[in-house]
Amino acid sequence: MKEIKEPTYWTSFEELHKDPSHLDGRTNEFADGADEVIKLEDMSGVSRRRFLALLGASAALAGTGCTNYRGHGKIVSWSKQPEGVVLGRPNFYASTCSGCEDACGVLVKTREGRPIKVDGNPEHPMNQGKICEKGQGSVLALYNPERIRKPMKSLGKDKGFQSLEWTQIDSEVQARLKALGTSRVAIVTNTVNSPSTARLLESYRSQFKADVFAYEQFSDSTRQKAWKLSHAQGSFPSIAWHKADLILGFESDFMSAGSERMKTVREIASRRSLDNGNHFTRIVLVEGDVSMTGANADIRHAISPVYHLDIVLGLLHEISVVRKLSDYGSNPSFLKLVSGMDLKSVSEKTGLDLASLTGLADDLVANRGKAIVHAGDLHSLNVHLAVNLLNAALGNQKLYETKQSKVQFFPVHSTQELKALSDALLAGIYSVVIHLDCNPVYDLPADLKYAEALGKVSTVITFAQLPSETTHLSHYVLPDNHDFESWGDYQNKEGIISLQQPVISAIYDTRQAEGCLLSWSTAKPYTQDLWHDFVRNRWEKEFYPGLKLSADFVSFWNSCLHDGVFQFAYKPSQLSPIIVEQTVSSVQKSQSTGFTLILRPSYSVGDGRFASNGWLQEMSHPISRVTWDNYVAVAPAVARKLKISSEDNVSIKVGEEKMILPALVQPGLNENTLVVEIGYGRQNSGVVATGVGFNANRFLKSSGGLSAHIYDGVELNKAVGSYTLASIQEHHQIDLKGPGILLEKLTDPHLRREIIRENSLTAHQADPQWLAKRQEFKKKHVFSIYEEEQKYPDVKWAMSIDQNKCNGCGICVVACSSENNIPVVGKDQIKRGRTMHWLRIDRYYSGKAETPKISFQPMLCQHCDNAPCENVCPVGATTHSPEGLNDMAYNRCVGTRYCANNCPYKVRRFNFYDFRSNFAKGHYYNEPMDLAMNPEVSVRSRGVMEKCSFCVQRIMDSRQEAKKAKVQFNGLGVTTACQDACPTEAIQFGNVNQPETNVAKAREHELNYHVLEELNVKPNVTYLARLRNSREEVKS
Amino acid sequence: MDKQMLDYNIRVRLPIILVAVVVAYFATFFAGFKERNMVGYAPEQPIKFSHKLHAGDLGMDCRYCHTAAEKGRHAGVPSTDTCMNCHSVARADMPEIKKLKEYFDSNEPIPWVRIHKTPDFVYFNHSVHLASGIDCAQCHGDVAGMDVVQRTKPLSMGWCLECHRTPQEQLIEVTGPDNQKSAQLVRKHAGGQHCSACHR
Repeated sequence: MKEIKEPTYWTSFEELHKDPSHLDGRTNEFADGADEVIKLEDMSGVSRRRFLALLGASAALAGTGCTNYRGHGKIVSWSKQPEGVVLGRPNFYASTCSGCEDACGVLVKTREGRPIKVDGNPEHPMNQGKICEKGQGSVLALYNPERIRKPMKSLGKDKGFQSLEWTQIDSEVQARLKALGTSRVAIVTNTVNSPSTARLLESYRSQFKADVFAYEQFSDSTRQKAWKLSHAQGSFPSIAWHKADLILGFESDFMSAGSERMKTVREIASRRSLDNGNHFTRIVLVEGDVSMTGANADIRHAISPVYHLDIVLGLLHEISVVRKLSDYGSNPSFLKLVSGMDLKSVSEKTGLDLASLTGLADDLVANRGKAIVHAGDLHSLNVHLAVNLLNAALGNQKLYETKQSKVQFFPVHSTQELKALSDALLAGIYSVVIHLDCNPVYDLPADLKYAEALGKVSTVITFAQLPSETTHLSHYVLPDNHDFESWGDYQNKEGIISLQQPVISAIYDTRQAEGCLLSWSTAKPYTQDLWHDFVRNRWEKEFYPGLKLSADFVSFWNSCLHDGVFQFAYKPSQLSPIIVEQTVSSVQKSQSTGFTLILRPSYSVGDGRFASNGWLQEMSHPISRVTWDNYVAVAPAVARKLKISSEDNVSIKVGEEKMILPALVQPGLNENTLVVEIGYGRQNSGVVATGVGFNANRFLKSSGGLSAHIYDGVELNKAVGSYTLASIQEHHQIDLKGPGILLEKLTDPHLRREIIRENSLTAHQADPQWLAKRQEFKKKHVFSIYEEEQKYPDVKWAMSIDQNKCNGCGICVVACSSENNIPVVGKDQIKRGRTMHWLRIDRYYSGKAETPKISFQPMLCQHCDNAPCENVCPVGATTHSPEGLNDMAYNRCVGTRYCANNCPYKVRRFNFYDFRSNFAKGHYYNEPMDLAMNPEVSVRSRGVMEKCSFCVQRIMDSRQEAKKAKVQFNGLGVTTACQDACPTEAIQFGNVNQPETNVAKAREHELNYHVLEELNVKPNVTYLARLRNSREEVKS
Repeated sequence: MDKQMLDYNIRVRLPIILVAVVVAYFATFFAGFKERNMVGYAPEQPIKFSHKLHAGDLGMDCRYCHTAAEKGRHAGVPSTDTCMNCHSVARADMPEIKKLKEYFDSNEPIPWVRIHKTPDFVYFNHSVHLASGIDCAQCHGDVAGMDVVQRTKPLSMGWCLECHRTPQEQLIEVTGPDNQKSAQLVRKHAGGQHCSACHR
């Protein structure tokens, strides 16, 4: 066999075009600005003499003043010992996250009564022990120093607020509710998926003539609406992703957004492995944007969302009319809809080449009944309807599962549909508006004039944890409890109900919104137990009797609280057949011009409600790796035409709304498509969120777009100036090649890096030893500077990362920040290349800038056997443990940074500051942030180096437990935080000396490889090469 | 400065100053060694609790009050209600017990003055040491004989490692007549000596 020609990998345009200044920069130890600490203008004006005098005086003062240097402070004991708390041991509580409508079960780890880490609840059938980055970040939200601590009343518009006591709020609000007269109450909330909250809101409906408006900026409401139209009944069912051999997505980012995300990625990952004789699933994505799912797709077609309807109709025409595989062909209105939609015309119209289109049709036909076609949440109703038709024509309903269909207590509106609310507010129908921890002033399209409408309302009450645009315009701002301080029950799937319990008592003078509403409607004084009693009573009176259990209610309730979730039997509804006529008649075709703008949710801060979370702001965009900002993504061809490059300002005009944003040239983007993330540009929302990025909600319109979040006819022009985006793309980068030398010319294996290894599935099946052969070539050239190999007879720790399963989501990064007390450094420091994440996800492109393939590679300390960092440390601060760990003793480190310089993987991080005090004037030093720290991990100070420790605190804990139990420590059951968080189980960790561990098996796998094996540093993190199930022929 | 003066400075004054500084440094270092180790530190406590009376004369087990010692990292000081198990009745009229009752009734924690403390970056675990057969007194001294608790060991890293390297002198399993032959046993029972054994 001829040697496979390796694709050329690149991470930026500078690299692709071999910009000499960029390549020179690569050879520097630190990125520009990273090591520049001293700036003359920043320095104090104190003279040298005066400085020395002050130094001497303060030393003398310290010598005489601090006489009690022996004092170790006080030990403060409990007055009355709480039950079940052992000093130094964690307690775990099952609860529910209410961050989005998925309501995942969570397991909260508390130490001495304070929550320090969150993971998914393994008992929960939907998320099965995994939660998203927002859930991981909820610890930081609990301790956010900017949480509203006292109820406040407005002193008038823009005049600020005064703190009040709750009793006064109670009497004022209750008086308002009694004196409603003919006017009504509007309750505005995000999705309500708590049956008890729904009951409470129902009581407000009858008691106070209240109307409930539940809305979401991003939800599957369009898909549900399409389902109602084409199937007449029921709601969109769950998809059995693990049964799909082919997944065809249209602008569908099902791996990073949308409902049931944890279930989706878990099920897809189970089909992305060579093990268990599974057939690899094939993911095909047709999208304008370059989404995370697109990066993971086997085949990706960059087609503007405007043409997706045509492609679906073309496929319908091919399948029903040309190949006659469905009975639609006899339906005249269907024939009218698809007339002229043969593949050739579709190909000409959409720009998707005929071969790909035919291949797609062949794939769909070959996988009839085993494929799923999926349109994204952002797409228009028309595409969803057409996709429903296509799925039905192919018999793909077999993959729909009605047994876990969605439950909704109030219809969830899209933001556009809240026009009724703002019209009614303007008309003066409502005199009281209650916001339940939602932010409609920011979320709703500007043309609804919601802020103006609120001005007509005499009493605006907002329950909120954090200041926001909406609290700013409210008369009463009432601090709400965090999830971890709240009671509740949640149900968004048939047959599954989960409980939420407080794991810490309210830190401030806050109330749970539901409890407060209950105290107003029942005129009972508020207590922490009020809402608990309501929920429990409802369960006892209404839910428990219907279950006909033999256990008494108290044991039932306690066991549900313990498990956090309860599953019960019910009769699943039947899958209703598609109503072709009605579906067909609802599809409307449209024409479009100009650029198409996609407004998508931010990967990290969602629709903006998580914008106050520093961990999430600092988590990078999976593709562009930009942090702390949004931007407009433009295609390389457009950038060339407009003569712009990344970070140049451009102006976008959507209808009448014009905005200036920085551009980012995104390889692979469709050239008629622009993408802007929503969730940024918050105002009046505290130091973390305010002013980060640009408010793209201004582009939202209540009507007129292709869908709520896709607009056509957009104008794009170059604008003056530029804006710096804090991208970590070029930071801590492993040198792909020797400086300035082309890969092809290299003969020395030490300069042929081949960091990413991937192949097509067919090529792998033809020659499973392709990787081994390549490694063989490298192994021949290695040499060691050590005479003797170190032996690890007892335990040897290692990690294996499966790049087939890793989808680059970054949940592990946030989990690591939470577990290991990693500071938030802020945009300014990120720009200087001073990110502190111990674990980063490198993104590589390969191929052409227009159609790149995208690869992800989580990169962390490799705990090399022959660690190059260890033998350059002048003070022995980083040494090797007998179990193969590369230890780091912070107190020995003097900050020479030699280790970082000598690390080929660039995974060491230096504390250029005490970042907690440096970020936003010490924001994360404020009370009560110290409670968020993991007490098992040192908080690093300025001037020391740090890096991934393989969660050594967890290893030591497990080892100590084994020692206590007097058993031989075998390392089974030790997990790292990133491994626990990984929803696809791509990260495996364990003792390789135990042959039954996953990591030991992975090391024997035919796809196993080490990054930079030729250096012979013997890394203990190994990777499984990615296989792409593409249609390409094997090139030999 | 004339050349002669410079010469005098360099040849005479400078060496004198250097020697004086070095001597002063080492003198302070050794003289202050004990002081810095805090051996003998016996501060006054808010309640004059006598370990000698409770643990010595009455023979109470350490773990009756320091309940977490066997379970977790910290031994912990007892909650006030542990004291009140007995002292709600026993010696309720004594002035120190009245102080105790005041703390208990007002729900205020007793601000005990801390004597034994490892630095923040040291992750010492009581439970493992107890499980390995280390007696409380090996680190804390004969507390059962102290009216006022004082520190008897330096709790420094060198002091920790002394034991970790010589289990044959500390542990019953390893000591014994044939301990000369049991080099393997010594290695098996030696405490961790790598950085991450105590620092993370």
